[in-house]
Amino acid sequence: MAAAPYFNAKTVEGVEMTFETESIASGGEKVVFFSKQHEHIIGFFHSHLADRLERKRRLEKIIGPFNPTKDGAQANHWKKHFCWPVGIVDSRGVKLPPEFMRRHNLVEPVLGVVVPAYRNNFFFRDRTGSVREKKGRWFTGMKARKLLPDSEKGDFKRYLQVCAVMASAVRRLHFGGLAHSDLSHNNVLIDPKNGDACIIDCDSLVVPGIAPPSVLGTPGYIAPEVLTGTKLPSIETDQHALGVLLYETLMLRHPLQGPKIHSSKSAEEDEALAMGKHALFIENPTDHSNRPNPAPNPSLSAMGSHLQALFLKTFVSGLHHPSGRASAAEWEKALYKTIDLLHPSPNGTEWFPLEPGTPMVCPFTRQRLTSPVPFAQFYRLKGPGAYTHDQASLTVHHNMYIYKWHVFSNVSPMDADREPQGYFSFHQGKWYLVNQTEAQMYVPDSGYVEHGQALEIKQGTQVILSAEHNGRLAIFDFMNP
Amino acid sequence: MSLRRLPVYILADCSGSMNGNPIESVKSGIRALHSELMGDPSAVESTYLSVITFDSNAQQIVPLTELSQFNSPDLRAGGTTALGAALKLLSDAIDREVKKNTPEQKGDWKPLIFIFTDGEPTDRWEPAADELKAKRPGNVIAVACGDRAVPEVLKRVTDNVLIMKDMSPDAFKQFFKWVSASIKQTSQKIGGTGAAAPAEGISLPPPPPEIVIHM
Repeated sequence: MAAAPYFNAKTVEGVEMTFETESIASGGEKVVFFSKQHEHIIGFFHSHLADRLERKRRLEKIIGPFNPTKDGAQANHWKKHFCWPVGIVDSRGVKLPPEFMRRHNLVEPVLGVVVPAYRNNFFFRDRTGSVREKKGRWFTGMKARKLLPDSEKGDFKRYLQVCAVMASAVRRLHFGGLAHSDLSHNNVLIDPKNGDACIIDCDSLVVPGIAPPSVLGTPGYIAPEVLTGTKLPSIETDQHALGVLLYETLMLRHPLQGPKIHSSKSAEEDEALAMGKHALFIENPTDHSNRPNPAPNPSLSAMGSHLQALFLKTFVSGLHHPSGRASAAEWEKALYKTIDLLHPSPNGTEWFPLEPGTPMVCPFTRQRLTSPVPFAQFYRLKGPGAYTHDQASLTVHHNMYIYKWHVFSNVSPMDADREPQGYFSFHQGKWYLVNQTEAQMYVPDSGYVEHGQALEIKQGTQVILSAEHNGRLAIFDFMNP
Repeated sequence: MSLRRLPVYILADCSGSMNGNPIESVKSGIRALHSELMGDPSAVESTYLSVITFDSNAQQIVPLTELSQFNSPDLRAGGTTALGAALKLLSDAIDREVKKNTPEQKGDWKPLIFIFTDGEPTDRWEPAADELKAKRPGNVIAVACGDRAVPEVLKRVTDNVLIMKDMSPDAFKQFFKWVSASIKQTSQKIGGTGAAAPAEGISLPPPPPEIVIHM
């Protein structure tokens, strides 16, 4: 047993910290310890590091100039969605007893990285008091998922929100020129109950100007061209991993793991080909040789047109052509657009994307809708009196709110407030939109809808959602069962 | 995820010399191993566990079982050290339980096999050892425990031989922690190894200081 319960360390950045000597975990790369107040975690790299200097330089860049959690208006937002390193500890900042070093496979000079502890909602807590991180794999693995309480699982709407958070975080990394290089369901924490997510293990990012890390990623998420040895991790290979993460989160299956046998020599060789040289999307629309039988449910088409297009882009045209993959920014937009297409299942337990041309059946509960559903297309003002389609639409349901990003063409759901601007109501057999904006809504050739007033929605109803600048024109249609 | 399973076989020496603390340590070690793995979603997805014990005979006391269905066995120490019979039983169990990769079916991952013994085998163990080494049915890690185990015997079974001189409860605890870390790492790292690593080799975390690698 270790003699002292705590050890002190001073980060390269000059912060003094105290850590517990009993490790919380020991993985392939690092052994990790809680700070005394459990607010931070320090991970020391095991044994001798061949690329120690490079790792340290990488960490300095990650903590310094490439840090989205430090400066800027959104620093606090990104702090929530990344477990971003905050400090480096090297042999100048810590003296560890030889017995401690031996026990944890550490050698001088040590290298440690300090990160914030995960937020509370990213832990399962059971009655016995044991605590477990909500790694994505708990929710996407078929066997692991069965062990979870139903209250943790969340519905499809929450998974879309989880995905939107993951895509936006990856978009932020890529925007700064960084690639994560090891995105996987072991390296993201998700909280489907609240539609929240956090990217962890940000210490092996690919930083411009510094050699890529020795880690190639986690099997199942490594892009085909990395597996075949032709490319190293990059933003493009992250785009493959992000596609896999999103597909798994929404469909609870892997996009490339189908029945097709690539080698009967060994599982290892078969898998290497299935993920690499011979990778084939299980829902490839023309090549059906890797398609599971029976067909998986929900099918790709049940994800709505926006996500379907990006999955095809990433796993068909871009699978072996890295430049053809969907970017994180495209995913983020498509996910928000899909959230706008959600309709509750008839029994109210699930949500599913519904738009003209798709069956009016919930793919999760298999229940059919029996009444017409209003659907709005949004247009923005292009010139005097001329409107153009704003590439956005909305599936309407009873008691649904609309927000600024619906009303205005220049507002994004990523940074708008969540003050309702109106709501839809199905009342005595008729559909209404109630204006809650500060301004008037305007029905061309008919008149204004004041704050608090209701407008009946019929086939072909047109309404400008705000008389203020950038107010969108909505044109309604009905989907009929 | 893939339906491929990661079979893990534990071969435990339950001969008379294990009586007392050692056998109790092994029992609680297997319990701790199971509960540790149940905390890791990747292990829950793929790992299947089996326990084979050997004393004067060998017995598969737990057949290959899905992690969430696994119950830690009760172990008793007594008798001699029928390592040969245990290796033969292991070989048969793998033939029977591990799904092969064929042109028609996706088979299981290569099994991970942990053998530990604290003494010299008392049966005719050589043919079984040679057969196992020639067949290479999985990645075998053998541990020679205490002073009386003979690492050279285990070398005939596998190239991966470790020595654990100390048989204290804490040493066993560290050993099973390492086994669990090895399984976790393998369950995460199996899959598309491709050009990154040869399919034959596995990389395990460094063993704890109580255990040294036999060269």
